[in-house]
Amino acid sequence: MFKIDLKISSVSVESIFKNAVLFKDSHLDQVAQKSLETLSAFGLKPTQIASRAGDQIYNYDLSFPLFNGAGTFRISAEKSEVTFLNATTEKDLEIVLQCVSRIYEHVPMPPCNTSSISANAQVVFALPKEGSDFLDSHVDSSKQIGWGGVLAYVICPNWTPEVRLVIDKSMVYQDGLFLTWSTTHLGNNISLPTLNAAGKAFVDAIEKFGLTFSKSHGHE
Amino acid sequence: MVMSSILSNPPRCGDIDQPAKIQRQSNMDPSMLDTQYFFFGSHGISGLFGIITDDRSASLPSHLRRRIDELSSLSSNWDGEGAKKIKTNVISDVVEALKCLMQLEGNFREPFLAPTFDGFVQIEWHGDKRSLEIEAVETGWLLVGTMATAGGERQYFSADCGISNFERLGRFYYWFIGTEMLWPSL
Repeated sequence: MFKIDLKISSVSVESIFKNAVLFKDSHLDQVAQKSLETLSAFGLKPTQIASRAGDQIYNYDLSFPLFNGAGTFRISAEKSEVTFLNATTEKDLEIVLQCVSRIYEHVPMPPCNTSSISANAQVVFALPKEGSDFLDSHVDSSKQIGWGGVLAYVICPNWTPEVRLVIDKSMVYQDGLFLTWSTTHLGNNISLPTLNAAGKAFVDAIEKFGLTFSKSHGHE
Repeated sequence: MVMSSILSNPPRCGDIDQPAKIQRQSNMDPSMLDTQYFFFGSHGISGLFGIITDDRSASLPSHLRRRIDELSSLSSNWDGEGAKKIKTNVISDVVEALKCLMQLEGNFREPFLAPTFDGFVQIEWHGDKRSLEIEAVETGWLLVGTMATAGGERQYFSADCGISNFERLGRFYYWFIGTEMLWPSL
């Protein structure tokens, strides 16, 4: 196994509603109130919650930032999306998962068919020599392939849907990797155990390609 | 630090010649290239969360603030028997609960805050006839109340409560101070 260290990562959850919701049925005031109740502990202030009435039919949204803009939540007529950028440590990721799960558990949302859970990470190899070995193993000079990379749909134990995994060269860290994961979850009951299970599946997915985080992720 | 490393290791020509790849990495995470330097040089999400929690605890009585600080600074194995460190989100939930309870009508009685082995916090009030213990756990709040009957027997009650359902939490506090006669979950 090649040991890797997390440098920076992002997490995103998107839920597409079963039916587009008219502005008059959106209850944005309740969404705002519950969001504030749930996330004031995470620093959300009332004036940070912004709604846009648009044409007051389907063209509207409500959004707010968290942690100086590292996180954003947005709900529109068709979907809700939570995105966190710039998580650099396990502690950061723990807080991110707490935030996401609380939004999904407490903020009223219309029913949806599936939610998409995705994450990406810039990682470096714990041992630079191992990094060169891993990167070299994906070069095929005979076919003029400078670097092959990985695109795979992985089946993981304890997580039923496939995990789409992309392993790319990092543009930011020399001899680092850019990892992208995405998977789906039925409905929008995104709890903390669900997110932890997805995270475990993401870790399992890269292990199938010989990569493992040098520390355990998701728990202290 | 990272910025200087980027400057000394600029993107290679191969990368620049692949606009689709550049676009994809930056599309997946639009601010990764632009803002990570700010966060690297700053506190990060967990650091900001700590500052937010500290800031929000400012309105608590000084005795409780000090206790919150003590609990926050406990390291793993604080009891010498493998107890877990208390996570910032647990401290944050306790601060929010205390702030909401302080806003209720009636005199606010300062509770005792105790760390638990699992890395959570128990908020305790003990009166002559009634006591109330609220424990912050992963799924919300677990509550246990005890009441001494006229015959001298001790009755025990329990309930749970959503993490941000402070209105319900307040009813249990009212039960403790005697404003509410019946255990609220009944």
